[in-house]
Amino acid sequence: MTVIAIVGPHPDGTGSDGPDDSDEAFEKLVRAVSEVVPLVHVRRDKTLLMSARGPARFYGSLEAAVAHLHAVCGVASVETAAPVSLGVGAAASQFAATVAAHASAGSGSPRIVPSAQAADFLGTLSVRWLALDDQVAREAPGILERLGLRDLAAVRALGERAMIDRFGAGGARMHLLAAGGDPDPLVTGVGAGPIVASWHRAPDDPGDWRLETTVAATRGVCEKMFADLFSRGRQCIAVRITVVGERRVLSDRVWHEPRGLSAQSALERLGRQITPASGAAGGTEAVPVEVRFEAAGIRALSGAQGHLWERRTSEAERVVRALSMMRALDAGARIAVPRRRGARDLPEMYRLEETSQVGTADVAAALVGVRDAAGPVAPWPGALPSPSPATLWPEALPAEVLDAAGASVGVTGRHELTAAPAVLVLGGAHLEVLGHGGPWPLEERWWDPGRRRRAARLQLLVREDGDETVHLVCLEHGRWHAVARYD
Amino acid sequence: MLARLPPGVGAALRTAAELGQMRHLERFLAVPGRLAELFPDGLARGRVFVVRGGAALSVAAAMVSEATRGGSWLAIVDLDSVGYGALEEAGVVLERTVAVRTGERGIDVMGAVVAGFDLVIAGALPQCTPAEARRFGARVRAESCVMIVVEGTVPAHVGVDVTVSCGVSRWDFDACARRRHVRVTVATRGPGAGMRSDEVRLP
Repeated sequence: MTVIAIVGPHPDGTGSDGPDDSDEAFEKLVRAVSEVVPLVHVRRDKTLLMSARGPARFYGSLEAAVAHLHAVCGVASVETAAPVSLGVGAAASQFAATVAAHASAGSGSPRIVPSAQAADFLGTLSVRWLALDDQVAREAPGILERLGLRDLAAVRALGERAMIDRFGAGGARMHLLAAGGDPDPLVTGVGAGPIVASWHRAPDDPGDWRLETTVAATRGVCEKMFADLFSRGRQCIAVRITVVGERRVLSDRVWHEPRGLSAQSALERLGRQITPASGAAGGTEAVPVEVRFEAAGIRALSGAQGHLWERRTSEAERVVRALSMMRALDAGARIAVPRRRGARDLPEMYRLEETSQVGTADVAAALVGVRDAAGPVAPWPGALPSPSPATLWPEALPAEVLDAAGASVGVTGRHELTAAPAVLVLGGAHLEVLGHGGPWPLEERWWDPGRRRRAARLQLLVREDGDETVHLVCLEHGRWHAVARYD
Repeated sequence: MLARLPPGVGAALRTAAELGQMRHLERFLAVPGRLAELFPDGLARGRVFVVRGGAALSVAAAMVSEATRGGSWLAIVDLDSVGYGALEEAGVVLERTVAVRTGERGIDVMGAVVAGFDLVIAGALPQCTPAEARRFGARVRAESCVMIVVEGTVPAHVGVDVTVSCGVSRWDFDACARRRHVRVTVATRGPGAGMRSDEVRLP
């Protein structure tokens, strides 16, 4: 499907961190384009996308349609306070059309990429252009460059399988974009999405069509649709809102939001659609009699969307703010994130990775990246059984393990105790041993005489102040130490 | 907490059920089912908890685990000896856990921590003047943080709202330590004052 893209009044395509899709000049542009094209897709980075089929048929050819849209954009741009360069591009995929539109913004004339030339057009592009796609991980283009893949032809040549191996599902997406495909085709027909909620004005309604009343009246159906999606573990990343009047469709748009939409944000967008344009005559013809919400893009629920108010992203932001405040208050404060790694010895199993050497942005990345970096860790052979002790002594405490006769308990070369432990001497106190577990041997780097380590660990259940406590003790170089307590 | 809602939400029309749910989420953090007897509403935000007794750290970990799963962040402050394996086994999400060691300006750093995290577990609160302690206590309440002090001391003027006491532990020990049963008592002061007690299985 041929797609027409218009890049709005911010030509750098900064993606989801850019200004949101709500300012007035942009709204004017969307209205001007909506006069020409019935269904416009609005993306968060202020790119407008539309299927080329309808306009091409109406204006006779794709070239005529694109030229007309370019003229419309010129008018809309001049009407705004600060004229900006708008680009119009057309190509076989949304990504290619968006790139063409950016090229058009630079040159000042519309750019059409014929299907036959699409592969050449995309192939010469730098991998940096992939950042235009709001689902591509921000760091991915940089990684591709470091891997020596400079243009999209190289990404395509590498093959989908290799891209998936390195980047997971994101790799498949980047490969598809580079190959000129559309990961999420534009919704065009009416009712194409499976999840629809609609509100109809009652026939005897007196026609009080103020903005707030319409938004309030539709709130129920909209919230129910989003709640249904949420209960199925889905989130909506594009919503199509159609406002129908007495005689015609008043407004029909698809709003894209890669971070996920909530009922509240959909209703705000409805508000923008039905606000009468300044200076336009209202009248009874513009009274909405039906409002339809349709989930045009759905994906599995990610942590990016909180249920009620998109609270989770702000949680992470709050944490990063607090950490930078902490560092500003006291340079001596230390911040670390726990990371799991495979190891047999307890203190080495979880490592605290300090983040004090890096800036706030890196703290955020470190906090978010913990899971990715750690990955699944298989149980390490020789590791202690679960549960793990809650307290690990920073420095092992000297201890003694004695048998019933008062002699020190040892461990043989075959990892067997020489006698049953009866008393644990710890910090001067003699604690009665009620049971023991182990020993669990620890042999590390046995091939390296300088660094080899041989130890045995033992769990001791003792009576301590009338309570039962479990200590983890370790025998190394012929001496016992307490290393942890299960408390 | 209302101040943190995005603009427009406060004015939006909401059903009574939703309002009830919102208020509850604003005031309480969820606890795992095995602590439901002790904290029937969950952990009240803006309160200072003190956990004492042999199983204090494990009980504190159990208290915060469900909330970290729900998206809340946890700060572990001045507890160098904590075993992260035990935290993970208790159900704490380590991806949302940050370890902090305060420096010389301890109570100020703690103030920044309670502003950023829903959940804070500290070994002890830093020494400070009565005025600083009062200010810190007010900050915990204003930021709706759940502040848990494990075993350590709390300056008198901070004001402890909930005391969690771990009684005698009984271990299931068969070739190695398996699990433990602890009698836990929760004493609440101020609003909702009362005493609750239950035997809790850990981890």
